[in-house]
Amino acid sequence: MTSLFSSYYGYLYLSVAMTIMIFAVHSFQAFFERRRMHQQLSRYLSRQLSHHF
Amino acid sequence: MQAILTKLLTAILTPKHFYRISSRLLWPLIFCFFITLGYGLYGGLYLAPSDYQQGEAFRIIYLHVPAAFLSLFIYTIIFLCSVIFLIWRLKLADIIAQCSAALGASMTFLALFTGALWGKPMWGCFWVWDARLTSELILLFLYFGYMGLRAAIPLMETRAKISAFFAIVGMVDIPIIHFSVYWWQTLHQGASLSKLARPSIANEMLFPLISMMAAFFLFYGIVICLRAGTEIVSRERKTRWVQECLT
Repeated sequence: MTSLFSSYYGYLYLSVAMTIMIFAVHSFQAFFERRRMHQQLSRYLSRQLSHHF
Repeated sequence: MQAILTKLLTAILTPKHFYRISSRLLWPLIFCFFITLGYGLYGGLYLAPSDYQQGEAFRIIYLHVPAAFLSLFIYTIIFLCSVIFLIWRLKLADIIAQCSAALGASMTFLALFTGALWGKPMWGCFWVWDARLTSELILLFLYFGYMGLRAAIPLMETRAKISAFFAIVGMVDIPIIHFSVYWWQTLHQGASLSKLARPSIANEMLFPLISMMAAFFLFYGIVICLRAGTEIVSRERKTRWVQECLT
């Protein structure tokens, strides 16, 4: 561990890991929010249509 | 003149148009993001030669500079959207400002985090109360304040107005961050990206950096397409066009 940080690679890997984590959190959250919203609305609309007919 | 501009903006920048355009743009943006990210990481972490003073630690630049640049850019976008919302009352401007804030805060945090990790081997410490670092930390608090304000006000119209005023007042920090390295004696270096100054950055180092910056901007585009699309559908769920889109 000490040699990893003394050669500076440790700092670099930690930076890459944090970047990947932030990108992953934002993209997954955005994708799942969108999917959940579409599913909720589809259910709502199908209920509306079934009431209508 | 203003009436014509208002009509034009409200006709073009409608949530409906934005939703359709963003849905079409999403996959091309994702494709371009992976291409630029792949080249940027490969070029920056493997192809670029190590720096003659900083050695391998300089490679943090490929994450730190794009994150810092995007943190300032996103706040500027929030500011512009706030001004547009207050003048023309465009709902879309408020939606984009709302959806940008979380990513802006994350990018500011990433810039501070990678900066601290770069500072330790170069300066001997993770943090100094330097003008650039402190003003960037204030930007993080501004993002938190903006998001907190939005979360605290339940009424949509009031929330949009008050948060727009907050974003406009907070804009004063952006030029301070940018010019802090020129206005004060700072430990943080000046502008890294210059082809005109001597010595300038080598092309082997510059091209991956530009590619990484493009990847970060494309990621912002992807997140906005997804989040703003979701927010638009949520706000306009009772309108006919949303119901037509989803049935």
